[in-house]
Amino acid sequence: MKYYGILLIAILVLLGACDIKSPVKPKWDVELAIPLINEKYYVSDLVDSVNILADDNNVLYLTSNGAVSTPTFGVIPFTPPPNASAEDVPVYKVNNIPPLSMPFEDHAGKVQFSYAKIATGALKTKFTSLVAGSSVTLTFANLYNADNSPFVIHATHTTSLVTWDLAGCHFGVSGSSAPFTALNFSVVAESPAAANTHIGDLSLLANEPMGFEEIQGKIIDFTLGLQDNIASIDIDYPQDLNQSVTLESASIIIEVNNQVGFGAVFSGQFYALNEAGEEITVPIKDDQGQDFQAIPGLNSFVVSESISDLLSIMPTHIEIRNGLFTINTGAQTGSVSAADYIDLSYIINAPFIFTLHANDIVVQKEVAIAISSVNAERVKKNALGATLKIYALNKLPVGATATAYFSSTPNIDVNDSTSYDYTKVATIQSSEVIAGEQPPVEITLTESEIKLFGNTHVYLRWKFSFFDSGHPITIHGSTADYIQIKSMLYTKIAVDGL
Amino acid sequence: MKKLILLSLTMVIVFSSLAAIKTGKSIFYADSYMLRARGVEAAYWNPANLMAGKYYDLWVPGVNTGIFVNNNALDLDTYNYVMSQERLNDDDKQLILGKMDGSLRGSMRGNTSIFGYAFENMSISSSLTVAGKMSVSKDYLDLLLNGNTEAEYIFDTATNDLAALSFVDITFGMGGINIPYLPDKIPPIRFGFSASALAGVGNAEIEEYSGILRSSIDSGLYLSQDLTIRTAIGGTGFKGMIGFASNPLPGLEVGLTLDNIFGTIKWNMITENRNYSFEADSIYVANINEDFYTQTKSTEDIASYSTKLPAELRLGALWTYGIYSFSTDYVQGFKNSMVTSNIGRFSLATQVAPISWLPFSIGFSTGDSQNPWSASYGISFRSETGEIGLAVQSFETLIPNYKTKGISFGSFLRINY
Repeated sequence: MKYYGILLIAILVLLGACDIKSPVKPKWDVELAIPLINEKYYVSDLVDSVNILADDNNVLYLTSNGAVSTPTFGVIPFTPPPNASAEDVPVYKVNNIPPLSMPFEDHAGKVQFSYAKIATGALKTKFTSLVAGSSVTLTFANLYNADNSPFVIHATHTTSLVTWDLAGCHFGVSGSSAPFTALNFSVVAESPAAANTHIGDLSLLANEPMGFEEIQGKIIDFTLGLQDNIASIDIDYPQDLNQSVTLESASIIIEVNNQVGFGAVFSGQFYALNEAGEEITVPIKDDQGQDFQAIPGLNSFVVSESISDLLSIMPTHIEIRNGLFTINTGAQTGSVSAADYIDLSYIINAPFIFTLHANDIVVQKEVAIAISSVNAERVKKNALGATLKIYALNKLPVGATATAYFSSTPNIDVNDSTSYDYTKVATIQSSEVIAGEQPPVEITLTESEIKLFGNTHVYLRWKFSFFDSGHPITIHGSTADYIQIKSMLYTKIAVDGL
Repeated sequence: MKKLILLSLTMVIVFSSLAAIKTGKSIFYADSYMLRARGVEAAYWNPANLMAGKYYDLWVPGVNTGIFVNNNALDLDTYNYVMSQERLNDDDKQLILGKMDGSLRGSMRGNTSIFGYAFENMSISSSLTVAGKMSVSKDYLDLLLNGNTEAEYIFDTATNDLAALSFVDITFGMGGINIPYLPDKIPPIRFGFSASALAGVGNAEIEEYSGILRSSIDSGLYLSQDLTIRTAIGGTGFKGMIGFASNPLPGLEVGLTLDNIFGTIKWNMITENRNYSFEADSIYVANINEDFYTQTKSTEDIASYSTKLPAELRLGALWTYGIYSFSTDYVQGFKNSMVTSNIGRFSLATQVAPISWLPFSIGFSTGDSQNPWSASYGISFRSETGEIGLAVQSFETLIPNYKTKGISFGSFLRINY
């Protein structure tokens, strides 16, 4: 009984003696390995089919274009020779008056035509001392009405000059190759007077300036200037890239649509201006230093050699100045009408072949990261730290150091340390330095740093510091040209209770 | 003690077949109870011992109850340590994980009387049994405590499981039947049998489960979970038991039972498969959008099905000497199930009654690969009109203490008249 009681008491004491802690939510930390990103950023994605294209060799190039045209050719001035006139010529009644002519070539020496449609111009006639009952008719052999009928003047007695408007009439026959050198006409006189009687005096003046709406023939030293302030190209380099690179080559393709029926010589200059205010002007010449010849129809001129100086300043603005088409047909004949003009478009192509300079590029666009209030609170409460492990495979011959500026307030100024909370730096070497996968970059965020993401908005601005390439590099845009970024986030999270 | 009960209930939730509770009083003897059971209880332990005695036996609802919870890893000491830490460090996590053998497993089982009446060599009784088990892979807990690495985690039902079963039995037993025509040299052998009509209350079990977690910088995060849980409410079934007992020597009794004969519960009222599927592939934080995963949930009616109760063999011996009695049982299930184990287990018990009205008992049960060993203690008060007792059983410690990995409680009340 004694032992039994002792045993019983002992069991009860042991049971009752167990000290059991009050249950509380246990706390601990866990480390999570979270895949963050695995992306290939292809250079070809830069191709927007508008300003950045890829050529047949997959070399990217920057392209921009402009267009300009001449004014319309307008009415072609023609100055008859001063002796294209006959005054007070006596007319007799005879049966066959021999045909008459007067010289009719451009006194200014700029136009030689075989056919000319008259826009403005006139003949003047005067018949005096006309015997009563008499009439005189002038019939022009190479001046026609609009309906191709010979231009005819019936004389009546006048005491002053009569003007005969020639608008719509034309000299010569369209398609004829015979130069128009003289105005030919015949005189027919009818009168009741006896034969060989002087029946009156005739004056014919064709020496006043005219304007032709259309001519066929030749033009000498006729110029058409480009309209000003239209032919400009503004280049917007992404992320101020012009500060960090010097393009090695470029070409400008000038497309000329010459609607004038004559060949023309184009002359002018490219004027360029960069962000720093530097200016440069280079003549527009072919690679042999000659002016471009624009034949009637479509022409394509390629300018490459002469614009290397232009590229040296990484221009942001290019325009054609003093553009001029000079028409000098020489032995060739052609045609032109008043509505004809020459238009010109030009495309600047700058391949991504450049020398990269050590320079900082601050990405202008600030990234605003919105974090839900719930997640922000979780980060604030639970996040203890994180390490970002970045694996990069850079297939591009461009290396850079990327610096990320983090802030809880917008408008980060990378030069003002009070405008951001902290920075993180990662370096990606050029493919010329490391061809394969690069050593991982570890970016560590301390507890205080990661708790920046406990705000509902976090702002990020990137700065890229490119490494000096030292030599021209070419950026291709094939499927083998990319930067692959793989990243794993190792984050430490506080677990405060289940 | 109250705190200990609460702790035990929260420690784990698994049912195992170890220490299967047929009646509450078996906890007094750490399951070495086959030849000790008398009256109504004999119908559950060895109906051969349903014999006409001096009194009739009566069960009162709820009083004969046994319940246990246990687990394979965590003890009170660990619990107190965890609760006392401001924040668990790496050593603490290692301490917890180091206690697990592939998984954290737990079980719970309870049995309580509804009614029972034994008279002459027969009994009629009813009881409610609930059982459940759960196991969680150590890898899951490792993920929970330490987080993940760039490795692949594969989960299946080998280390992750969940099941629950509840049924009510109405048992008729008859025993004390001497086997006739035995040779004279063979001592008399008693025979008994019991038959239980089973009313299935509910059943839930994982039908299919697979899970994969993979985190890779090259292929992203991959998550996959496919789970099918089969559930049922309402069923009917049967199980039978036969038992033999004999007294070959004075004070020595031996016995044998075969339980769960034709044991099955057919769930035929509400039977469903609950399917849950989740998949997310190639996930990178930078690319997450609203549709980064696919998730489906569905419930489908299924045909009725049966829960088998595998047969279980039990051998036992009981030696009584004066105020002492010693017993040993060996139980061997033929299959693993919610109520049986195919791993054999021994149990030993002794009861001492230096004072005839105040016996106490001590029991010991061996563990197996899935369940820890246990020791039990019980005390009761008995009189001419009945007996009442309480018992406690401690897992993996001799007495309930800070190293206990589970605990059982048993109570019983027997009314004799």
